Amino acid sequence: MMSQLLSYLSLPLVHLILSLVVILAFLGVNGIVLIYVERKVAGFIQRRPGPYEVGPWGLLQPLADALKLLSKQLVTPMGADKILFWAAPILSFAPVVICFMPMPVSPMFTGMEMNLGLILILAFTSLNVLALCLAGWSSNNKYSLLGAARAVSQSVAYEIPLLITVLAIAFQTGSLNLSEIVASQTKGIWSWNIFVQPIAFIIYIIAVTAETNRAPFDLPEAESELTAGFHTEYAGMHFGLFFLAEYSYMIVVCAVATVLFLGGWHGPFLSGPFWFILKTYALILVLMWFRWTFPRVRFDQLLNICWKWLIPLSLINLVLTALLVKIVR
Amino acid sequence: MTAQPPVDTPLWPLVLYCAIVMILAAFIVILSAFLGQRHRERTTNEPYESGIAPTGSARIRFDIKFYLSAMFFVLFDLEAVFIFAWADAARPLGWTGYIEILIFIAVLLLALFYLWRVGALDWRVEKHRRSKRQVTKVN
Amino acid sequence: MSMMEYLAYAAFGLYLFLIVAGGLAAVLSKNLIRSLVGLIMTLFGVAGMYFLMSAPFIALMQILIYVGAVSVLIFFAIMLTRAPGGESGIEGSTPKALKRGLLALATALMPAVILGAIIIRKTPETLPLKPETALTVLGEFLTGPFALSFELISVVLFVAMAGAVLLGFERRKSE
Repeated sequence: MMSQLLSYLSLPLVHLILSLVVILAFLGVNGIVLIYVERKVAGFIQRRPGPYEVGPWGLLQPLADALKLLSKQLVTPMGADKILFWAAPILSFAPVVICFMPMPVSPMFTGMEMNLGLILILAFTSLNVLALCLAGWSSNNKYSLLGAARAVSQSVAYEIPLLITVLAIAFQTGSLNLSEIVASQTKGIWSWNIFVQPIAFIIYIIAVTAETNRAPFDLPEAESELTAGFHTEYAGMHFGLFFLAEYSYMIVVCAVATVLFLGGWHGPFLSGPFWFILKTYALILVLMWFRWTFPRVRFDQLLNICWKWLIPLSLINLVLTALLVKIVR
Repeated sequence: MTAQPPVDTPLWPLVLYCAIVMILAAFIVILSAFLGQRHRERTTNEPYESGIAPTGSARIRFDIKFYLSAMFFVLFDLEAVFIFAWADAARPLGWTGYIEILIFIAVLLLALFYLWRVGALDWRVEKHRRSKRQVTKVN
Repeated sequence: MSMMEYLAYAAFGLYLFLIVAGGLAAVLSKNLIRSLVGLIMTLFGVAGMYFLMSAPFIALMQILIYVGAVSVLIFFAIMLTRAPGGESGIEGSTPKALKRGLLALATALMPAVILGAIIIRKTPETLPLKPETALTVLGEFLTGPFALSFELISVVLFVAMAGAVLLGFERRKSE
């Protein structure tokens, strides 16, 4: 019996389910931590204390928020398409979990070693827009629909420079396997792609800020114009799932940036996962810093930045990368 | 069907994975539906419109610009995919492959330039208004 | 059979269910957005089939382009129309609708019957699954023997863009 149990443990399937559990636990904790960090950082930048009532330094605030969300009524607005309205938050959250599978957190722990890991992440992050479409349309609310239209056209526009910059990195490494991309950046800090490909890094960061709908590109949920955008009508845990998905997307894009540009799990003294998480959260702090530094852009400006700057720049960057790689090797 | 499902491809369990995640997320929502409060007043289920009673259908029609930008996205996405296939093979291909992709990207840039010149990338509100005024004049 | 093999069969069944159920939902629902959701389900199932046939690149492209991009395009196209809710006046009188439904059913069943007959008559032998084709091979083919078509693709896409502009943009200007 015992030996049978052990043999099950070595199955790839069991490995998969184990990594699923780890990822889900991580995402839950991550959501709670990021809510707290975001509010504290906002407070720090705006010279106010942020949450401090619940628990020491307000540490229990996110837990209280989560409990509150869980106990709220799930309101379905009149005239809404009930099935789609209920399905949209679930559809928004599910694909993001898949994106963690090929992530090389350390040489030991990778959910799923695969050659096309990078494309897998890109494909599944692009599914988020569908959930937004459905959420916006099924709510029977004008704010929601406008927010969804903005969110979708913004996400799809910024996906192009994102794909092309990622391509440049993939080309430089000659692989789409995330572990191999990390392995190509082992020769000290100067071999990190952020120094090899600075333009690509800048384009990537701008594009993912827009992809995750964060300020200064948070037009889909611009509260002064659209109340809350596509999730205006969502209450309770429906909203909670959207929120969790948003923070999970943030951590996915930052983790991918860590892999592509910051040398993944490489670093002195400490073990791999520690460095990986440290770099990822440092990038998230940068995104939060953006949010409280830049004012929101206008919608036409937003799309112009993408079509007239980022896409041509990323294409030129790709051609130059290819040329340099050809000449050097 | 006599098709033999493969046993050694590592990617197909993703479905299983997807299914588990969906069930879990649905479980959270259903749990919340049971735990949450249930009250129903006159305006509980009314769509929120900043306190004003909603008028007309909420399913407004979109501007054609949204459709156009989605169209451009599909096309550029396709091109990016072809470049993906190239990027993985570019190392052994040498200079011919490089020049081929250069032509490919040049056509892409040309297309972008064309869109730019024609004004399909402009989302300026003023232009839009002017064209509307012209429409009313003609009518 | 090992457990993984059973699971692979289960996955096959799930994909089949997704394809058929999605297709039915797309055809039968009166609401265009729900039809779109059905279509997305079908596309997902097809992507899963590609996974099963160990063509992960095609499967991921299916998700990236069809599920992630083309369905967004269809969504915006639906939102362009006057009645995205589907309350249009196409529904005729009952006998007419019945006739139309029967015709549609016959048209849909024809390929299924023909293909089914062929498969039952001449059951193809089970082929061992080929190992996954590396993306490198695909790229080499694209830039090698199919170089001209590869270049033509970019031209075709250019023309498609120009067509979209002509349809959606130029006409509005001239109106």
